[in-house]
Amino acid sequence: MTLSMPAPDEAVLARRGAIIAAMRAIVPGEGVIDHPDALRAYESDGLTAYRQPPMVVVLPETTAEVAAILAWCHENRVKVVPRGSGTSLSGGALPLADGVLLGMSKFNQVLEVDYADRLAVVQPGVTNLAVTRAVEDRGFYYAPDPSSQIACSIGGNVAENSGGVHCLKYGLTTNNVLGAEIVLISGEVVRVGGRQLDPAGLDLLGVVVGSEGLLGVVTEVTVRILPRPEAARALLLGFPTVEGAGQCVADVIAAGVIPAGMEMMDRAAIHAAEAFVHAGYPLDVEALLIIELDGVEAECAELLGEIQPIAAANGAVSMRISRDETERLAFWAGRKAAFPAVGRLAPDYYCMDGTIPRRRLPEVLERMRTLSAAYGLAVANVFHAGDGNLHPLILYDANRPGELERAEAFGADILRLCVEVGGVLTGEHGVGVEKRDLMPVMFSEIDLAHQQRVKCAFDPHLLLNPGKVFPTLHRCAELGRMHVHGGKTAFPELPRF
Amino acid sequence: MSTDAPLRPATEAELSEVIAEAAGDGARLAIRGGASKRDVGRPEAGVRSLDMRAFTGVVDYDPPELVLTVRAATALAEVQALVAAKGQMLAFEPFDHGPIYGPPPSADHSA
Repeated sequence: MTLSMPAPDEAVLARRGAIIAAMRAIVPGEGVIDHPDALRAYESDGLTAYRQPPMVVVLPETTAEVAAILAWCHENRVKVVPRGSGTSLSGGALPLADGVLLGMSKFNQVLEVDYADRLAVVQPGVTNLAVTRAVEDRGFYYAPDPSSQIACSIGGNVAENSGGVHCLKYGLTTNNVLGAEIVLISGEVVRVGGRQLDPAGLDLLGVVVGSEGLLGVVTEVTVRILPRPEAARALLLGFPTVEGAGQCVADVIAAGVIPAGMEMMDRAAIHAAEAFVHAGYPLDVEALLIIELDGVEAECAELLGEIQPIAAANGAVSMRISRDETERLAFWAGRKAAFPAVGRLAPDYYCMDGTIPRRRLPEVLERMRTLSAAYGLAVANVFHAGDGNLHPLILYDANRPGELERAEAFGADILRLCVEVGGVLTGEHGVGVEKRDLMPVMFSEIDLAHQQRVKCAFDPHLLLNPGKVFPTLHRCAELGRMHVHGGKTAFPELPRF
Repeated sequence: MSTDAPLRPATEAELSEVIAEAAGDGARLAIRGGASKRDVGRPEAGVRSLDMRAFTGVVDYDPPELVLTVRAATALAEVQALVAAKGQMLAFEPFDHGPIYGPPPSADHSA
């Protein structure tokens, strides 16, 4: 563990009994968990290298209970960590020893489906896939499809602005959410957004989506639902060089084609996936592209016709078009199983998440190979090539002393590289604990101070999910003085009031 | 109506200074680009006019990235012509009042 969390407040720990009693007064029965054995179930999320049992877990069932919990914690200065399904890969739901873990799993109802307006109103604990399940009999679906969609919750998707294979064409969570009910740390219940695109006023919904549990707790979400496309066809392309595959991605987009998904796998990932699920991938290539097109049958056929010559011009040595649904799903089987497949290559793997401009892909992959050699750790690449969203999987063995630290250092270097070439620290997994200390690589002190002003406007005592996103949280009262360096203010000639 | 001569910063540093000064004086700023909608709505009173027309031009445009970065006062018509040349378009279509109320969007009229 190279990252440290804020030191637990002894005074709060000393009040544990009273805090648990207060929670029980709000949430009756099994909704308050305080037995040490039961707390272990909540000690970690998808970033399993970090573990910390919470002080107490509270599982409310109503918005009124959430409001009462937050108001009490606010008044009594107790930290709160919100949690959906606990699938975060950046440690967004990592508990605090002196904090209440607020689990939203009991908010599991689809409240309303409005096909005429193409929206669904759901509680935050509903899983991503369950939204689609609730509307698919009428031929609709919810577009964002993170890999963890069978388990991850919509509330967590809103917190992390989650993506998925199809966000190239359909957008991330932020492009598919219309409104939300959120409870502020003060206990106030507010609604942001609405039931239509672009409601009047400040875009507070845009502020809330992707705020990683630092601004409020989502208690209801209104999402867009879409009619499922009539047809989907997939194209499996093998390239002798990563450069060729990368250029093909750029050329397809430049030709005006926006596929539903455009995924790339490198040699290591191809071999791992093929050995695991026998998807029929070519093994003599350096890079594999899966390009999916959806829409009406004629549109898919037309676009396939446009893409094939582009692939050929970039040196594709194998080209297969799915003939039917079974074959299309087979093409995807290897990609979807890539993470567990890579998991068989080494005892542990560390999944990174950074985004780069598409045009820098070949160069970034090349430098990643150099880093891999320097750190002595193998890396397999599986990524959303169309978005430039990389997911390098660093292979390591946590039982070997120092290897986790080396994997983390390698990962940090990859993310620095992403920023250096004009990209960003994260594509869809969030900053959380994982990338917190790298924030200054991307943002200046002034940027971070302004981001924290937003935090302070929502949560002045910094009680919601502390230790995440911001490398340093300044007391809100100190923020006004943050730009004073060496006793000098900016524009010293200007009068101050 | 502006109370002072229009402020026309030429660099980011100058712009930053102008804004800090206005904030320091408690003055309000009316920010203008091509001013094609200046005569729409209630006239502004007691404001300093901040003319952004020095901030024009393309910062970065690589068609395959589907991302374009331009400086704030670049005329929309110029941007549309630029992307159209690459077979692309802006997906939003702001109503151009210029031909009705103000100067044509590409002309560099003085206020």
